[in-house]
Amino acid sequence: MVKADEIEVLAPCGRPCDIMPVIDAGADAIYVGLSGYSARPKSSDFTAEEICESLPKIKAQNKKLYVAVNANVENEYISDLCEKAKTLDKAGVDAFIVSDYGLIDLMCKTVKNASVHSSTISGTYNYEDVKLLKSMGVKRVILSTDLFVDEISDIIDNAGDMEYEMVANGGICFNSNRQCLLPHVGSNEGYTVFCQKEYDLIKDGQVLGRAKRIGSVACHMHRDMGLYVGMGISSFKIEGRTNNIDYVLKRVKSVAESKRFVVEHADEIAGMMHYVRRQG
Amino acid sequence: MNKITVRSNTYDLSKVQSLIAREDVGGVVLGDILCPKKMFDGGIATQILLAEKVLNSGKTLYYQAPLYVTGRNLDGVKDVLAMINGYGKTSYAVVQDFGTASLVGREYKNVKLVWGVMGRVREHKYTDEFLKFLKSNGFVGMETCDRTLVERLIGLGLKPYYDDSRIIYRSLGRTCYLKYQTGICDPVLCRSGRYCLRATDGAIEMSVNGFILGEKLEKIPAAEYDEVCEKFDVERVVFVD
Repeated sequence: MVKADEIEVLAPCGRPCDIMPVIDAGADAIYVGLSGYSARPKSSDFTAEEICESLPKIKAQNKKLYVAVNANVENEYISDLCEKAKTLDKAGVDAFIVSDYGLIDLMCKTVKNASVHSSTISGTYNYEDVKLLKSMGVKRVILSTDLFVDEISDIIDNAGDMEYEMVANGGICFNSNRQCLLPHVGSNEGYTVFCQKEYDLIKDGQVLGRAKRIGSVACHMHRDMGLYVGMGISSFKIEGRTNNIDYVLKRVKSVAESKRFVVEHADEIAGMMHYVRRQG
Repeated sequence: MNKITVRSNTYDLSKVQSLIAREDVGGVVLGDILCPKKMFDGGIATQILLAEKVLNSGKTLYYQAPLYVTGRNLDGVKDVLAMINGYGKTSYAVVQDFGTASLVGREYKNVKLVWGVMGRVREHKYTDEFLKFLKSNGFVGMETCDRTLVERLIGLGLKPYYDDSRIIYRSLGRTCYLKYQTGICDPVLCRSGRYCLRATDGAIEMSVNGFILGEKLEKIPAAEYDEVCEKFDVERVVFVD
């Protein structure tokens, strides 16, 4: 039967002052971007110093801290990244989230204590990918939001021992999470994302009517979390490092509530799995 | 004569026969990254038939693996690879994920690995660490239309497969946009680009090309392409209609 400490609510933090409110809202672990090396604006990243300063209060609460290094890194910055990773590893960071396979390999060889998690944009689509990552030393695979549930199940059933994380709350893309080139235009209010626009469907120059949405939708995992726990996913991530704290707290509370429900109804998980895989 | 490797968006028997009859053609790339029906009228069955034509012709076959090799199509990918491997001659698989690469390296010894141009992330920058990782995982080359990558690849012992055209697109995904928007799965309609999506504020318009939105091929200027090909030891990849 699944226990509370076997399910992780993973929350984003964009500023050091947000850490304690996020933990109070129910986060078991926090992820932050390493300034200069994450896929988000610098304003929502933590410097290495801020990460080191944040660690004692996170550890005092018996929570974990993960550091995202998932931007494309220019060659001339790789040695700097390795030095920062060694410093953060020594300081007690729990994991690094990395997307580039070359950097995943390098990071696995560089850090001594922290785990390495492969990012959702690393392009991991099959169990052969996961087996390779495992052989490199990766401890957790963050599942691509491009996958469908049967594909996730196939990976977990065939890849052997591995931790899995998935997006449980926040933006998930209709289009390819990894390769979509539709403009994301930044502004003071956040982003204008072109997939969110309304479109007309046109044939041979004639407007046929309003097109179906091709925009991302917000993922809201509530009581169906049990299904994913049953499949073997243990970490549930909230998206939104760049969002304001009220937005993040609302979502952390929602996922934490889902976790409580699943733990209270753990005996129902086997029954939920009938349409995914048969098990006694 | 410098041989070329050819790529096309669509193939049928007569096109493959005419390509393999050409003296300047050394290899043929077969396979659609997202939908075999879009490239071959008969889908995967035609793909296998045409692959065998290339294999029997003395030309080199490059199998373009799907962009998403998942539990849904992995067995089909293995079947194609096993068939190609069974010919006992050196062929190539153009792949975009390391799981498929790992499988090829382990089980299909006659199939060499080339990293595909679509194996990129949005920003499509490649670290030297990534390129070294390709090399250490058995890749012999990488397809690119980026001249700045060519020299780096050679320096790291990888063969550049230099495309004469860039694939331009706005978006792609796991859902066929044509079928999603119209309910129709029709390869001919899909290739025609007769449907498009236009933002109601006029900010953007993009053709509906199956699993891709706004797909176009942009030719690299001939002078630029030839200059790179003459300066460096590249495999020329030429897109044909």
